[in-house]
Amino acid sequence: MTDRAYAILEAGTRGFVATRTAAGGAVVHPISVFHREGALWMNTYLKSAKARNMIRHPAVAVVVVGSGDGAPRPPGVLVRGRAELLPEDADPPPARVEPAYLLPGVTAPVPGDPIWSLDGRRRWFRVPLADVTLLEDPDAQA
Amino acid sequence: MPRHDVAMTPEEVAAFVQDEEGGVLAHLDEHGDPTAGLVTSRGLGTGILLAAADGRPLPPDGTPVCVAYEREPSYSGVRAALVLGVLGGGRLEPERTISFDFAKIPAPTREDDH
Repeated sequence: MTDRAYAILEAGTRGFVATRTAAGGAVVHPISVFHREGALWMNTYLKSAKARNMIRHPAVAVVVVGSGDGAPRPPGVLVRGRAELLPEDADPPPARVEPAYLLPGVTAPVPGDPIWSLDGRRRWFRVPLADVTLLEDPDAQA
Repeated sequence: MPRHDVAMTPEEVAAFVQDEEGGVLAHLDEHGDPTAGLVTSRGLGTGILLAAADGRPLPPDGTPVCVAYEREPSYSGVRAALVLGVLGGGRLEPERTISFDFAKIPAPTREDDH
């Protein structure tokens, strides 16, 4: 992974997770993501469509961008890999660097914070950073 | 905790998507696994004109795709529309949409945080 891709993952929490549906198509949902110790961590309701898709077909693609309000745009990072459903008591490790952008109303996860569990109705998924692609505006690369 | 209908109306979805300048496009690769990229977007009649924004080509014509559009002034104000259809000549005619507008949830909604 390039230093630029790493920096985007460290700073950005605005993610979009693409999953395979039961019908065999692709769908992509917005989601907050947290880069911790070589993986992306995502928290969602177990009953959500994206969670059910990830459990049924763990291969996912996650796009992370650093920008806040407005349309998602480059630079960004594409992470492809297998989403692992973590046990109910799993917590992401503490952040090495606090993210530069957090959606207003969302706090960065702190180990033990029950808001991320809601009595087991929400769970963490972890996607190791095995396949990482930097997404840049081609005009910016020229 | 009651569930609230947070879906946008078809008119709201159309207006939202037509106004957006970019999104995230997902499709399945040759192995049947999802992949995704950043696209620019422009409303064109009943459809959407898409172009790759990240230096990678769009998937071939005839590929079923999903494009996510999102605005997020705050968690309680997130608006998003997922547009599904088949790509042709860089154009996407929506076949199905999934949408949500968290501003339609009556406050307070502490349980739904995050």
